[in-house]
Amino acid sequence: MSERRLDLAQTSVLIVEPNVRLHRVYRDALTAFGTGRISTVPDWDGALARFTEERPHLAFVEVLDEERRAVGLDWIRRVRRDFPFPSRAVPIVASSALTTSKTVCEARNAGANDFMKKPFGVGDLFRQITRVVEFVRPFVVDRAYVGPCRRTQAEGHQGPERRYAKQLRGGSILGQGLQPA
Amino acid sequence: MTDQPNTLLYDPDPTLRRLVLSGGGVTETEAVARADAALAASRGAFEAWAVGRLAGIEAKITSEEHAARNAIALAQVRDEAMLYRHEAAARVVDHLNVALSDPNADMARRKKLFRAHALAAAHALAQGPRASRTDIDQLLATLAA
Repeated sequence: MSERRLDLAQTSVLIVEPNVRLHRVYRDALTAFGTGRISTVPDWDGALARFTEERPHLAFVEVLDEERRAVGLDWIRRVRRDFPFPSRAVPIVASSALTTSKTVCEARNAGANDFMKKPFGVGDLFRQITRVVEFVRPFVVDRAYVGPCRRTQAEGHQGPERRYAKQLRGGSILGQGLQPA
Repeated sequence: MTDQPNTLLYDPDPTLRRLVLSGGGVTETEAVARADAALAASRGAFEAWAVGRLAGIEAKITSEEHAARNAIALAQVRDEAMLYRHEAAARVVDHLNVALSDPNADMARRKKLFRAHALAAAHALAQGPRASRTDIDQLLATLAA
């Protein structure tokens, strides 16, 4: 099977990362991937302003600040809740070295599309972009949650939701005019 | 009560997918090769910085607060090391964070762990990206014993 090709020339990627030494490495790697525009921001407040200005197509967001507070999750919630479409639906990948099931679950519930464990290599970074592009999910707007649909499978359930999950995995549900749940 | 649904599902924005899956661009193999080539120019500078950073970290452990600050510095070395393909060094530093989270480790033990991991990571960095994990793990086990 041939490898998937990604053409990132027209895309804009935002990196929210407090470790400024990593900014250059991210830039070098993403430039080598052919990414059109790369923005790196060391703080989450600055990242909100940059997000508004540049309307990126994809964002990577560190979850924890130096005092290990989950400010990155608040950032994701704010983007999901406060921004209009299509900005609120931009794919966001949460990233952290703290990968307890609690942290990953909280990132998902904040509205992250995916979670990338640190440390990661350049191959992991490329695969993560591929995954976000390929694994497209409906966008949910609810009183309690705004973000990509968290239902990826419905094990053991025999009702219509199970079929829906299968369609979702195969991508066949896209463009079919989804109805309110 | 109203008939309005609580939850709305929207078609995802297709912009990213449309832009990226045009048929052109690079495969993962090509992308990684290009990134490695781009990072090769700054790898030496990173290695020198990281060895100095590890030595500095090791010398500063005087309190719990220092240990916490050092953990942040270690994480910085670890994350960058992995992107420069110093996987053995990144793994050693990551392992140190786990070792330091042991609530039973006193300050003397922590100092010893820091010293052992810093030396092993520096050795791995000196060996380059092809450093053997097994060799580095053995070195670490000896130093930390």
